[in-house]
Amino acid sequence: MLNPYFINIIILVGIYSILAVSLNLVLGFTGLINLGHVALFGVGAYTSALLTKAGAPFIVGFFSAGLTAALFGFIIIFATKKLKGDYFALASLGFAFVIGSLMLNLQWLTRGPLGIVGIERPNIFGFVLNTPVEYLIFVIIIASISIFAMRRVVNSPFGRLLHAVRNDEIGLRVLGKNTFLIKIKTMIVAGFFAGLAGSLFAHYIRFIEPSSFFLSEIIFVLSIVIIGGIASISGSVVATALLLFIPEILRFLPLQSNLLGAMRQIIYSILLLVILVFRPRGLLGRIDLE
Amino acid sequence: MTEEVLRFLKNPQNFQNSQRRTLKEMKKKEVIQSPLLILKNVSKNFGGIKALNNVSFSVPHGKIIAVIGPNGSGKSTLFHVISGLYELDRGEIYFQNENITGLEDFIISRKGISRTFQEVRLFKHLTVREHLEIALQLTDEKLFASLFRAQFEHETTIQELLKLFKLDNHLKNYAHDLSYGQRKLLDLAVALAKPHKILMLDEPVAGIHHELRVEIAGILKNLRKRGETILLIEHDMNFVMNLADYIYVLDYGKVIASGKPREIKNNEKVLEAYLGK
Amino acid sequence: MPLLAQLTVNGIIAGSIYALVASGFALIYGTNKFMHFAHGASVTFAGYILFLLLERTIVPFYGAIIITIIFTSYFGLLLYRFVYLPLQNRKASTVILLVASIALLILFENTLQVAFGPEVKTIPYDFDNRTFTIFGGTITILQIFIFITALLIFLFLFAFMRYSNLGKAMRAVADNKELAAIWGIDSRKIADMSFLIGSFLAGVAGILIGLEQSLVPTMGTMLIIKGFTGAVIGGIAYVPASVIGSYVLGFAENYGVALLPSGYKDAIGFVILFLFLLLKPEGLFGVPKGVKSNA
Repeated sequence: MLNPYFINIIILVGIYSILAVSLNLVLGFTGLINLGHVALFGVGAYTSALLTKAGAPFIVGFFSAGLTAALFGFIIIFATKKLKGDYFALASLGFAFVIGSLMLNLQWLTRGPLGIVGIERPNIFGFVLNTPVEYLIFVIIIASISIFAMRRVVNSPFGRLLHAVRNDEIGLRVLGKNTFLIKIKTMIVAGFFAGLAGSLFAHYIRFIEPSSFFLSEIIFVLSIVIIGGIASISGSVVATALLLFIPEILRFLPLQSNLLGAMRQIIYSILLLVILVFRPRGLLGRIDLE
Repeated sequence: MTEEVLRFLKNPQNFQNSQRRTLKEMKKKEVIQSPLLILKNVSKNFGGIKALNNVSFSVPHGKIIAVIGPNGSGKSTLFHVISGLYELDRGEIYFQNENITGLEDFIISRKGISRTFQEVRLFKHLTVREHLEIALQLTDEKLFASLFRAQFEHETTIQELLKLFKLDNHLKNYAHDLSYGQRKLLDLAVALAKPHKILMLDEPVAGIHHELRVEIAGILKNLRKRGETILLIEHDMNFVMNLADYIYVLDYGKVIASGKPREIKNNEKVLEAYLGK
Repeated sequence: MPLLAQLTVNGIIAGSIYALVASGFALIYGTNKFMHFAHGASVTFAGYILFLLLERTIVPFYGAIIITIIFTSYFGLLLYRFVYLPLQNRKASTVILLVASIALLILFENTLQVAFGPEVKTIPYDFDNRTFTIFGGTITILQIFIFITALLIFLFLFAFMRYSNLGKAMRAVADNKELAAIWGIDSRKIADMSFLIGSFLAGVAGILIGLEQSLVPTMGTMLIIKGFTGAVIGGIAYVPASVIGSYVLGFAENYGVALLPSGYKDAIGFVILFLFLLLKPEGLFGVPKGVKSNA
């Protein structure tokens, strides 16, 4: 039960479920098709990695990751204020590409395609999380707090407004609510947690490079949210576990290891398409994607 | 039904603070106040089409004003311009003596303009109760504060409102699942619940059967008795004639006639507009 | 001066390649009003089919070209029939169709990777290697051919959308499906045709690009992003403009790397894309939507 292979997957489930729930907050609840959400994850990872490599304590790196990602989230919404529907989706995707480009090209800062190596395990007030089990416990704690917090937002009076923005933004504005501000606040919260998840990722894998945050990752997280169900937090958590465990079956098949990555992508895209065509509300959602 | 309405309306507790004050002020004033809403030379073009052409009118406090006219005459456009959804090309709009021309839609709403749409605009995935909570709650946009509040606060007000509109058994239903008539009523209830000084209703009885029309007419009459100001668009002539204090007639974006219902009924220009020249 | 000339030539080549991809994409968007990102997969698919035919079969070159183009055209049509149409029938929004198209792109690119392996492949055909020098810039015969093809496509699209009955029907369906139906235009058939013709163009693109560059399973992703950018720059609703926009992109990238480190080439494209989406989403030749909101 406690074998390292299994623990590894659960840690990833923990990290990606924070990211998935944060995307669901923006996309599922508020209706903002932010295809570039993974960029915030990447921003968090790089921020945390760079700060800790420069000597800052992990806690500083960790929270800065959240704040920086929240800032970038704010920028996306602010810049795309006037864009609707698919133009917003594409602009957010474009934004992610621009961020990815920056990661690749600002070599003096990010070491470009070489990425950042040797990221240290978290040192929290002297206690270093060396073993997988310790990291697992840490991730579970952070994930629980993060997801609980986002759930609190969703079930509050503010959370009601998110559904309203998704259903009929103009109808809500005419009731006197500043929907732009609502979107900004949501994005800041979602961005913050995406950034935290990025930090957890960086300090776990201990090596990050730009391609970990590109198109295939975007689809992965998007698939989780859609398959789990729009506006369903539990759906996102369950789907994260599913999408991380299912491809592991591939390891038992006689396949070349360099094809594993491609097989995973095939599985994700097929699952996504199946849900889109046959069950748009996803596994646990109550709301149809439209 | 009217008895319940009167009872509900007599209880000032049922209205938001701002409205309570307004009603008290209105009861005191014998003086003629300046009109609540004034439009001066308002024009709105779409490409080459003049949807609104130099429209001027005013809505005095405590009256029901109706805007009628054939399809495409610009009535809904008028509402969209007033509520800030469309930018006007020329002219000015004053609300409570304040120039609200060009302000953003949600800000205009906060100044006290509450409106409905021709097509009922409700939130598909929210329940009846949630709709009213949103309308009544002034601070739900504050994220942090919102985290420490209960989701549902306005129990009594909501219960009264729903009883009024006979929706009290549908508290937990999604707006989605109500019948057309019930959705129209909820629409009206939401507009009423939101703090306002004027109600702008775009075809409040479109597609509604006769009995319900009479009920709604009754509700509106009593709202007027309580000092509410209502601007409404309607096609149903009987409904309008029996209800309105004053009528404006639009055709091709221009005001072609205005007057008391009796005057409008016999106005040639109005007949021409409806029957075609 | 020779540097400028070479950069210009490079810009023309890049612009032509993007135009090949953008034209089919724009035609499909112009008719159906949603983004078919999997168009990139069609392009890649074409390249690999040609490779397969030339490498494993004895089909002669020109025969292989024809087969490739036919296969690719129907590939696009099948994507429409099996994925997009069912979604449209359930009133899916254009965003959902966009997400589905990205899923299809990823699906097929990775399938090609599993089938052919991730290594770079070259199409086994010897194109004439002669080069020409124009004002100091070198260009190969194939590249000239690509340029001419792009121009021909532009002229074809321009005339087709303007003057042909099918083109006019496509524009009618794009504008107002219901009205077009009243006039007797079968929007289903029009949609089918748009995917056939659009994917036909993808076939042409895949063949030429495959010959010019080498084949990698993921080449479609970058190509469709660039093609899409070109279409946005030109004006995504105005089909021939996508070709012009592609050239703008090609020149911007190649002149740009004279000023910036070469790694920034792709970044230039992304930034331009982002800026256009933010500031001028209707493109250089498009008509901005005037109304403030849709009440």
